[in-house]
Amino acid sequence: MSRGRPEKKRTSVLSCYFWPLLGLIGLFFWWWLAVRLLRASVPMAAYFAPEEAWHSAVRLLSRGILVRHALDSLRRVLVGLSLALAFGLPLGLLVGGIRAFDRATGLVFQLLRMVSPLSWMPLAVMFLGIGDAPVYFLLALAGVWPIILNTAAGVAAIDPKWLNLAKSLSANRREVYRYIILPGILDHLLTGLRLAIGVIWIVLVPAEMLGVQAGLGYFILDARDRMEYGDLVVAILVIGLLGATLDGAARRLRLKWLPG
Amino acid sequence: MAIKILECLNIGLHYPGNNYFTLKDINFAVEADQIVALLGESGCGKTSLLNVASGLIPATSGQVLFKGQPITTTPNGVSVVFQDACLLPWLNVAKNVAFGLGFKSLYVPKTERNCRVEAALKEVGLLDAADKYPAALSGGMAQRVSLARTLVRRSELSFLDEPFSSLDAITRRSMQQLLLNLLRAHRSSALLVTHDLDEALALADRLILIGREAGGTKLADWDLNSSLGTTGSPAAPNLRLTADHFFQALRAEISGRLSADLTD
Repeated sequence: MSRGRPEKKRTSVLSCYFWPLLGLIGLFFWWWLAVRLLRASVPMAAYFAPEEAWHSAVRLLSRGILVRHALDSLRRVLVGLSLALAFGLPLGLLVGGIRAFDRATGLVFQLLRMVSPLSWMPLAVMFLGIGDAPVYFLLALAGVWPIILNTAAGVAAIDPKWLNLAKSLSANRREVYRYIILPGILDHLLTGLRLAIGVIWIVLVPAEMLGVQAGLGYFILDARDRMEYGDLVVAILVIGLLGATLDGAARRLRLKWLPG
Repeated sequence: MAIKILECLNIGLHYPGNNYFTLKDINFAVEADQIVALLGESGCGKTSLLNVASGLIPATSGQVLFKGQPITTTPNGVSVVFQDACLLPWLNVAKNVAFGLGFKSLYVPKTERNCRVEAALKEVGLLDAADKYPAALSGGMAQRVSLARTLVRRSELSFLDEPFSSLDAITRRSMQQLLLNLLRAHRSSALLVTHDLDEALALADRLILIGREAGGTKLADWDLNSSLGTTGSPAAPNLRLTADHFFQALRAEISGRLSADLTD
């Protein structure tokens, strides 16, 4: 009776850990091989070898430097994402719920969405000065579009039967939003948040090159200036690792909050 | 004289963009403890009439009275069971049943709410499924949850829009019996929309036939209790006689429309 079960469990363990691990080992192998091959023609390539990165990682972690920079970057992502959500959710609800608002803002949003957030860098520094404020602005600007678009799509996809049910139960407008629309758009909203996290994380590194004194983006520039190329590679790896972790957390959150 | 719980007076309905009336001069009343079935062919405006009578959509003309008071929205004391069970997929069965009891219009304290939900789930035989989500329910179970949601509101009048049309014949039969038992046990009135004559005969005290000719109009109104005693099995010969009358009336309406179409 239970003969099939261990096999199923083994399959899930295999697909959960074995294949991703194999992929990572493959990546490290190609990295190691590329450095070996390049070393003959570009001697500097030796500084970027996996073993150099390993030594740097141990040093940076033991001194707590990497954690400090990573925490600064994560703080900025959190603030940027919160700002994007604070503006994106109500705007998305308006776009999805009010046809006239959708038509009035459609072209404007498409136009603004197509501009790379990094294009706003000079304006951001000019108006917000140097420091965290322009970084928050750029991150929020990068993350707000997926939230607006997904929220609006979620509102448009609300089953009219649910609204009819609310009406039959004499729900007022606030109750319709709280008990039908907000839970009804959760799937779309979490997809938007996941996309926003991805975009914000990508924009974070160049944004942190905007005169701030900490963060992984800043650390890359600093490592380059110090010619500590191992540190630079470690920073790149940490950015990738944290990005993947954030994305995984958003995905898990979605699975946890959405039953069935 | 029986108390009229719902009165529809000269109801007319015109949807914007249509060049015809969906409903025209419809008059009827539902008395206390009475189950009235609205019958008619597809597109005759049965569901529209139910939506107007329940306050879900406003009538273009005429008036709907609930316990003598004109209504413009769904009043308290009324519940609607839709064709689709209309369960919210993010709430489990217990929370779906309790849905709406926390609304400002009908606030029920939490402890009282839990008691009502438990009692209603027990009545529809779903106490064990309280923690399940709608995705894990069969069509029949989902419709039972929908009935439980009506029970917890302790409605005096239920509007039922083809509630069992998506169920298989056997489940439909047991659900009809369950509904009848619940309505009788709670002494609740109901307005039932159905296209299934057998269902109407099995459940209703009165049949109202809606025709499509020149907009939805009332063609016939049979009081089954006064002519036949009590409602019973659809196989009973006197009910079959009513069915024959019903089909004759429907056939006359359709053939009248067809000949009018041919003349045009």
